[in-house]
Amino acid sequence: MGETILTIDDLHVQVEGKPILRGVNLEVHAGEIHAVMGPNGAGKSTLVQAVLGHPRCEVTGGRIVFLGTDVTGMKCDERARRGLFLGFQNPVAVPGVSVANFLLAAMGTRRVDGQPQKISIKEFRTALKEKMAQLGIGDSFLGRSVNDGFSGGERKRLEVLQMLMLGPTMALLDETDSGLDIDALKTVAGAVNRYAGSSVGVLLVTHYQRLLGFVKPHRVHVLVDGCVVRRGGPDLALDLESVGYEQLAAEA
Amino acid sequence: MTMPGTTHMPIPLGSAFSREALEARFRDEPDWLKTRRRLAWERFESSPWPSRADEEWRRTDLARLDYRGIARLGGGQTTMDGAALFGHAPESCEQAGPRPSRETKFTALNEAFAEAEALVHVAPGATRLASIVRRGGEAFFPRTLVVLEERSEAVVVEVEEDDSCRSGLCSGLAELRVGPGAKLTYVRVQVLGEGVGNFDTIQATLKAGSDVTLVVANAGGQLTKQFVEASLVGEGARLGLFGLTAGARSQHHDIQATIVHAAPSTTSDVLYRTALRGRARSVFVGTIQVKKGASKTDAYEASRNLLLSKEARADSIPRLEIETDDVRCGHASATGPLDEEQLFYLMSRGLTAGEAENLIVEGFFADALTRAPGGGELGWVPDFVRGSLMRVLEGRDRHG
Repeated sequence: MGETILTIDDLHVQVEGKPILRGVNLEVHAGEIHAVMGPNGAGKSTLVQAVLGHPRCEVTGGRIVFLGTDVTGMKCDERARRGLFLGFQNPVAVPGVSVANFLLAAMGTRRVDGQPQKISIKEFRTALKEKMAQLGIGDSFLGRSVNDGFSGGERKRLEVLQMLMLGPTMALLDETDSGLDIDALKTVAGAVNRYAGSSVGVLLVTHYQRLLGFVKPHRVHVLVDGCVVRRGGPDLALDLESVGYEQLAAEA
Repeated sequence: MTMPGTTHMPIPLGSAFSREALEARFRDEPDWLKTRRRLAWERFESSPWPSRADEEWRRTDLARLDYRGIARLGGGQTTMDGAALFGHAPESCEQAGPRPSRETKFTALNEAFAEAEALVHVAPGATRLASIVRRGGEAFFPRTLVVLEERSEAVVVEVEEDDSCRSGLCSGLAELRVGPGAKLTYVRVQVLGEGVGNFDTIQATLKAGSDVTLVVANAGGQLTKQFVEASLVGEGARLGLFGLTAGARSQHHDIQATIVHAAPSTTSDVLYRTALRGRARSVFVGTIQVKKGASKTDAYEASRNLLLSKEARADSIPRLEIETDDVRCGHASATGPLDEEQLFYLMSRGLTAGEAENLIVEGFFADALTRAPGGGELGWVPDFVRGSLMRVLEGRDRHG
């Protein structure tokens, strides 16, 4: 088992005064791919947003430890600079900000051992071209405004492109599979598989098994009504297909 | 007679605002010009201060201004390239020099004390690139006339700047006469000092088939009252007006844009973007008039305001005055705070709250800013405009 990357310890979260997460525990080690599954409204998105520190998510109990540091009280940008990444389910449009400028600004925030990592424009371009080719993204993408007028598939590809460029230690991908056709799904899954190596952790949020046909998780956690009701290996995802969440929740 | 409470009190003026000071200052000028100044001064003295009863002055309070401390009128520095100094030949008197469509106390004062009047005259079919950079003294009076003859083309960039934080006055007048088939891009960047009261008129007349793009950025000054007026008098004339306004502290920007469609098949596209921080306040009144006979007019006006603090306030007031059928006119306006989801998205990529906010604000200005000419000799223009706006708005890290 690799080094512990992310520990979610008895996490309780409220959104607008309403309890959403009610004591979630989860641990991700280096080299592992985890999947969090569950029905709509189970709190899957709240979980990953809380890990990144969305101001909407009020932590009322428990803690989030990333690479040995308690990040529970940290601002979102600080968590990101330490190597946490969230691929958004519905990334917002930022009109007037080009993808290229956005990526360059994001790259400029990277830290290694707390020190800013400088990257030359040339290195940036070379890396960008390579990752874009991996994802089948054309050059015209770069001049467009971030997510502005993007199709669902384009948004998801941009999320994965950012993950590849920023090289986070822990990537949480919130329904990155939704809105993708089968070819795009294969491309994105391939990129995630290549990215997941021995030194990083990946957590996929999904409520379909579709993505898991292409990305094999080491652990599957089933979240229902703000609690993890079942954990298991990759087979659990297949069981869910026949059993369904309600029955699982009832059994729990 | 005016009723108490319905007019602005006159702005207190010092002895620099006098006929004696005017005559002493311009003693060596030719007689015709001295006469013009004296007549303008007399009109200034005899005309009333703007009244709050006037709808267009209702939202701007002049009572805060006090010009008793101003010792000298005029005396700025003007650097021109591609423009000529007007005013040294009497025969040019009639045609040269901008004329306001409506005189106010401020335009009369402008005519009385104007220095370094700029004239950009582009001959038929010719092209011109001109820049006029004015650095003000404590009171200054920019005056610009741009004349484009038939089928000529020009890009004119005019900057008004001043480093002083003192109480100051700027009263400007720019007139753009655009001939048939001519094409003009006029960029104005106002970066006056923090204490300046700025009273400004930009007016354009568009003849048949002409094509005019105005990019008007206001970033400086304590109080700005700006009239932007465009008359599309020739068939098929096209106008794009792109306004960019940044305000912080207790800055007040009151901008009144009036587009008059007086000929058939004319097109106007007005786009204003305003971002405010602190206790800044903005007013944008955008009026589209379609005169009788101006059929097949196509006019659209949009304004958006971004409020970066709870205390900032922006009002957008669209007006459509349509006297003809068979026209297409529309307007849209929206005012709101910074989008928290955009902020979270950018911060989740490692940008600090301040960096994220700056990026969002730059993006907010981008669509209007792309209308400013760039490239080649003008490569500095978009960056200069963006920098001028962002300097006003930057400097905060929200949560830190």
